[in-house]
Amino acid sequence: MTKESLAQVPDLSVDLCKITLKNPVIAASGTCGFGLELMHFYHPSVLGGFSTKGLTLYPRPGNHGIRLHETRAGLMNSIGLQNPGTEVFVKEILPKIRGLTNCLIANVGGSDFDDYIEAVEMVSAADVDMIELNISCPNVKCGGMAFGIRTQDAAAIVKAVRPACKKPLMVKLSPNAHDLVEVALAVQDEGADCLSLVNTFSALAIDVYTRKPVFNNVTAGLSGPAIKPIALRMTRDVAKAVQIPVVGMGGIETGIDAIEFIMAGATAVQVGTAGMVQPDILPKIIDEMAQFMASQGISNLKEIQGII
Amino acid sequence: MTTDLYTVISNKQVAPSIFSMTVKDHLNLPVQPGQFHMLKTLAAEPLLPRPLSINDVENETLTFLYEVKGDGTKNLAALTTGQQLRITGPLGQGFNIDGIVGNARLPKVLLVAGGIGIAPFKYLARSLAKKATVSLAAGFRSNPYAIDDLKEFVDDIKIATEDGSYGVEGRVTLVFNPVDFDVVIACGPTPMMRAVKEMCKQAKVKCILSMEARMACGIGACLGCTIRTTKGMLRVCADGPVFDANEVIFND
Repeated sequence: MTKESLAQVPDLSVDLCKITLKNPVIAASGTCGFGLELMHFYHPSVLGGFSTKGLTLYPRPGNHGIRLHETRAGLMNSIGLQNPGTEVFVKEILPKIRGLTNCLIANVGGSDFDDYIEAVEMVSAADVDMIELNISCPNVKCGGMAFGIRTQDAAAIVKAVRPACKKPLMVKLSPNAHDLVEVALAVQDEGADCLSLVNTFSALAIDVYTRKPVFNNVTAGLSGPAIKPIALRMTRDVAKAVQIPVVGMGGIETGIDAIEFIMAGATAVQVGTAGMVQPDILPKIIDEMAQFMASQGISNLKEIQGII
Repeated sequence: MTTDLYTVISNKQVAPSIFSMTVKDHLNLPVQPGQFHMLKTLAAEPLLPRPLSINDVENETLTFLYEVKGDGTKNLAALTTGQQLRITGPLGQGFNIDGIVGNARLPKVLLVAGGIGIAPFKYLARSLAKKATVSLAAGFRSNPYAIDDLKEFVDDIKIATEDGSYGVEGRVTLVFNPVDFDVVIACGPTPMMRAVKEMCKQAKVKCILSMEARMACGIGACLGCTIRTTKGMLRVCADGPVFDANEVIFND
């Protein structure tokens, strides 16, 4: 490669809480397992990073009944945080996946303050790069979203967890918050290092023949392209209001979608549902971002971040 | 496993709502009977690919036998020769031929199919041929299909139809007794699977089930397709779809 062509290669790297990601595309929690499944299609090191399946202090079997329901341009899920617990993660899983990425984000949830604190303490003391605090899972009782709806609850859980967290703390926000910007500001004030948004939208599907909700929990979380315009607007609202970095997500399917989130103020993005539609889509999204930047003469994402 | 665009060689209706699609297997990856692929046309909607078990693998082609049930399979049925679709696979844990045959010389294996549950049995029967004595018990609501495809590989065929239009009138469980076999392998609707498991348990005959579930990722990442088992919630896509019947816990 000549010097001239090197100069034209756009720089996709971004800094997120003092970690340099080679590009801003992160695999979203709950859609990539613990990263190992991705290896059939690409090496996870090509990504900016990945966020693990949501971990809780104790193992959880997850929800019974139907866990998935497809909608127009969307997917509803009610998995219920099925996971092996933080101890198994730290002792058995982490050693196998540590080498897969230089930004290994451990997503941690809980059902009460003590659970959250103990889980964050254990996982953040292990060799992970960042904690993503899940205060937005809509599918388990008190399993997170309860803390992400009201501003004072969100502030209280982040305040409680912060001293226990030995790594950068990303807080994953719920689009179901009564006042998302207010939650974001409160979470920032309590010491969050960055924010990720949005988790799934609380949604309902009804089986009219059985006259019952499709999901045992009645509601489930909606993701996919259907939520993208709302997630984009929320990303911009929050990014405008806070001083800490924002990781945007919600319905991203293409590099152009990802660029929209950057223009809306996101430092990085997460991709979830699209990776389940096509397992090798994340590297394609990264390529498309690079192509777009090259075609538009953008050498660094900072040039377009938050321009809207 | 991989994900790539495949080209349709043929896609034809073989019975009401039942289609058989053959694609060019340009990658020629090894496929176990009982494994499945995720198939999606190039249309944006529906979002998710559809999991289809492998019906046959032959001469650098893959064949899928499927029932049109919703928008995803409707799109698949509309594909014509030369068109492309995205296929991810082969996926999951298929039938363990050595485990089924074991140390016995020509063990007696029964395949129990309910409706479109017959789909994985052609490639399985082909793989078992000469290693086992294979019988088929197939149940349908009405007209049978895909039976002729299997004749070459099985020694005995019994058919039940719910409307009595062909074979024995009633459920497939009427046309076999598990004690006549060393291994029973079933694929079909949940009530049939539950019944076959119970019959084999009573008869103390080894029983293997190929399970079905709604899936999103198909690769073991999203945990959307789990079923209750004696080993906890297991993923149909990655831990299955083939399970020992003793492991599977059917909800009441």
